[in-house]
Amino acid sequence: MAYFKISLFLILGITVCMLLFMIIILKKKNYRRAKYQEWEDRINLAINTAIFSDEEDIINRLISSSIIPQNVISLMRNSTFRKLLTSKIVAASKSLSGNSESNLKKLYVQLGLEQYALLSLKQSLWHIKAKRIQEIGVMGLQSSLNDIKGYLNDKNELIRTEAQVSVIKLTGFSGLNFLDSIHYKISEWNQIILLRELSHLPPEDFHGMNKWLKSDNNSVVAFALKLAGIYHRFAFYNDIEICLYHSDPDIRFQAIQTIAMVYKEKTAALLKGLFPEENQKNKKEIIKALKVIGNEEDIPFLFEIIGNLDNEMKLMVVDTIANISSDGLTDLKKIPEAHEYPLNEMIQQIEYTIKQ
Amino acid sequence: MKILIAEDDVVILNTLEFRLKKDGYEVITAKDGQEALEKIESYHPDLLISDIMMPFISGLELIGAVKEKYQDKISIIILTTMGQESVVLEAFTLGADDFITKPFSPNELSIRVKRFAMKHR
Repeated sequence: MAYFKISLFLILGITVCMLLFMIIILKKKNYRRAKYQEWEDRINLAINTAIFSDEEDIINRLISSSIIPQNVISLMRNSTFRKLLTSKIVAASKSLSGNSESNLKKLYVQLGLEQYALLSLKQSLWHIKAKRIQEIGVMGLQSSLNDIKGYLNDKNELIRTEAQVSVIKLTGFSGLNFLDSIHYKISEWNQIILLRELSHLPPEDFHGMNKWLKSDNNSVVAFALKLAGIYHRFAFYNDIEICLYHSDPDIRFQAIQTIAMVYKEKTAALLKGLFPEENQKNKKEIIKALKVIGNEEDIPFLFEIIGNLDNEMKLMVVDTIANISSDGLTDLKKIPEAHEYPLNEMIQQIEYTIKQ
Repeated sequence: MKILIAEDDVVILNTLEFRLKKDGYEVITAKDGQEALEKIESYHPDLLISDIMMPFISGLELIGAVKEKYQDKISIIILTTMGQESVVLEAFTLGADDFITKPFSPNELSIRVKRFAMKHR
């Protein structure tokens, strides 16, 4: 009986303790949630007021109208509050421009958030570093430019990419100088991100192309070729032509695409000469290039190759012939193979597409 | 003129609400596409300013639904981010009347809205 009573008390005791523990945890959680919500509302109001502020000292304006408390600077030591505030300011800065954006930047600097961003750069966690580098770029913190330049060649790809994008945000096209010394491969995705960032800037002259087109880092050569094509750098035609003979087929592929954007009278002949030795992927690219830069003179070459190609490339050739010569399809129909499957079907399809 | 703003970023939503109320418009806000659809039913706004990326119902779905039911009674301005040209084209195909690219200045939006207000009169 005594044993039963002790067990009962023990179970009851444990249950009560567990209940108390759960109540305390729930209370703490609710308190935190309420506090977070209060901070969020306060921050939203502060940002909105800052956006439309005409005053230089935004912090003073926010304190005097009691939107943020007097002790805001000490509150900044709370990392949860600071992270919430920073993320909201950075997100709003990405969406707004003009006075609103410059007011947000003022608010960011006046709150001393730049110092916290620089301190976070010393963290060992890569995702925190990458986020802070991005923050420095978005907020246009020119004074921190040298701090992020050190990460342009970082071994972590995401840190490296964020640093490259931020340097371009802060310095424009001259930020591309990192291509002079980058050791790591610039992935396709990284190249897309960099090109997107550059597309937001007004086009301007940039230096280093001749060096990049001869770089030992193949990804730098590929990226330089893309830049040469997009920004129509006709001055580098000869360097681009040299890339058509590069040992890496991917560089040759990019060189074919680029040379079709800065072509000269003899470019089509040059590409036709390279066609027999190229791989399938690059052969397709040459046919695509001829569709853009070719003319009547290229028709005999296309007639010559059409018999030895797979169906996909055959169709591309028929399409190219139709595009570069008004009589191309009529002449094509005169060759014996044009009356046989699948070329006859392809000609019909392209004719139908033209009529449409 | 009654304006409904649909935007999931509260800071941007409040900014636009503040600016347009200051310009003298009646402004209603919605934090997602679903809420926007419900408020369109109850308030019948003259102009809808909608973000493209929103939870539950996207901006594009919202445009489709609004134009199908209200045709030209509700004008639509969409908020897009840079590089979303194909999305803008799709929005125009669905019936959007104008677009504004983020980052944008609230003043710029205010000017665009004024154009619709003059048309509404």
